[in-house]
Amino acid sequence: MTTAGGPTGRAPSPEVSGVIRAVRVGLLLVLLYAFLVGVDLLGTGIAGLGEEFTDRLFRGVGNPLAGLAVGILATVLAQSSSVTTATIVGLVGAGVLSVHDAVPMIMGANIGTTVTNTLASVGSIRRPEEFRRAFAGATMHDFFNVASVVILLPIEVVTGVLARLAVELSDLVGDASGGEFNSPVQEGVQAGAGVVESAAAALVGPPRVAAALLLATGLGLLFGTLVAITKNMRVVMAGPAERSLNAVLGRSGVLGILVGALLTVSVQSSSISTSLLIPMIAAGVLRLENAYPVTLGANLGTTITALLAALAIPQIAGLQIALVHLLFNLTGILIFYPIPLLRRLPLRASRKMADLAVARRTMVLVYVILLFLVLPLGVIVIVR
Amino acid sequence: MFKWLRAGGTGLDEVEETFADMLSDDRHVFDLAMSARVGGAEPATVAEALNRTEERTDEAERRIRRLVLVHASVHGASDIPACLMYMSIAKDAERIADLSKNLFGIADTVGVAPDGEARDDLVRLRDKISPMISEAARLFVDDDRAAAEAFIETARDLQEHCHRQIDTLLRDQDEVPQAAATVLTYRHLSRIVANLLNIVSAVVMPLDRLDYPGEDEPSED
Repeated sequence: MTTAGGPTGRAPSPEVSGVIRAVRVGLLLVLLYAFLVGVDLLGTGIAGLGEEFTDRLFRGVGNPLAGLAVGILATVLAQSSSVTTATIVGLVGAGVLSVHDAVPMIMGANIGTTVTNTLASVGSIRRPEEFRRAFAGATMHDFFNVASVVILLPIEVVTGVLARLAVELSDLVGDASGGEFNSPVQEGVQAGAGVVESAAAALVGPPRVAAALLLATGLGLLFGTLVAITKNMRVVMAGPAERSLNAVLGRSGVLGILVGALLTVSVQSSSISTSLLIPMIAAGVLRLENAYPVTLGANLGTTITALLAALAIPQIAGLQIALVHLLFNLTGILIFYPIPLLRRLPLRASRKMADLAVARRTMVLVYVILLFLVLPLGVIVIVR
Repeated sequence: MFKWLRAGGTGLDEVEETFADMLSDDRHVFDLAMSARVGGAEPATVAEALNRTEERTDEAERRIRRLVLVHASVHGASDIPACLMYMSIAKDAERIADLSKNLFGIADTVGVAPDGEARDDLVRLRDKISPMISEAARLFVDDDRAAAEAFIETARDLQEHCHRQIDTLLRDQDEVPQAAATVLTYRHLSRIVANLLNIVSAVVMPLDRLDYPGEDEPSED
């Protein structure tokens, strides 16, 4: 209605035009391809470093608590569970990690990713009521993820039910027993990765140095492309995201889960989608009960990255660990969401936590450092 | 189901639509209030429609706040000036309905309209201000700077006229109750025009000077 630079002083409409959208979709495809090449290179690189090196690197992750701690720490450091889960898929695909050992790491990534919106909530720490709402909004995601892990990790350790179910599901698209998975994009990805591998071998002589270079390139590509995809998609999806968030204000339930999942799939980052909610929760526009399903949906949406990463891996184990991620988050929702008594638990816990945080602000620092750094580091040190 | 993925426009477009609806409701509340105050309408006959429309403007303001907050959360800093401006002018639009309701309150309490010259003057003001409310919406949507400058000039003249009338009536010792009521009427009319002026000043003023259009612009150096 109003022109750019008019009375509103609005920037040109963020709703991108058809041509720009086509360019951005093209860019997305290029970035996705580079991401898949990155996953492939990561696996090749780490496998090329030799068993002795990988055994030393992953010593102790056979202990579920250590695996969980590694998942938390890696995600806190990368500020992205997508990076962690894609890396885990690459490692599992390369045979460096078993699906069994990787399950707790995937669960840890779920916990680690919530640090971003917890930090986002600190922005309103000077205004107690706003902060109370914001901190509750952020920590409800923490409590939900921690509670899911507390229930599902012991069950998984004892029964291996999630891994077994993932194997069953993977058998639908590949040869679960033969260990092969031919995704439609694999040949193209391997062609690209092959070019980089040849270049690395030509550039540096010793195979282990070339492998280290591939590992670094793979990690760099993985991290860089995910950041770029998130930035690109934030622009492309800003309009639909805004409309969908307006739609969930004042509503609760499955629509919220759907919006959270779609939003997170779109921007490839649950940290971004859940952090978007914090200012709205802080202002009281979005009630905690209505934000909760969106957060759960974000947990589901974030599993798309690992599933995409699995497309680059010729071994079906990569797909299996990606499916474990999906099954874990789906099971968490099925445990907590349908039953009102259980559904309210994370909300109650987060409200109590927010009351404590408002009464004593140092609690926030203690909580963040303890949950996201001290505890996981402590576990790793003890186990190793 | 995925209509929201295809539909164009952002939350700020919705804000603009809601704001235009608000001004349309403002005019309706104003017309109803003035019909009771100087148009001979029985207050009881317009009360329900007036209250309902005024409540709609309250809800519209709250809706604009929510839309602006969601927009700012999703888009970050790029539209912050627009967001702040909408918050400010939505308040002005809400006040217009509120003040119009106060005008109605006077009609409801005093019962009779003023006589003679004062009545004629108030009718004349009503006839000028009512279309100005719609004009404010048009100017805002069209971003018509030249017409906005002329609008601001007219609004200031009307404000001055109201203030002069207030001063005259306050000095008048006769017919105190009617004088007080008429003073209040002028006062509210003046405030309504002031809020219209604030809205349209957004066409020509920077954000930090919204609501203060009469003050000199600080020098550049």
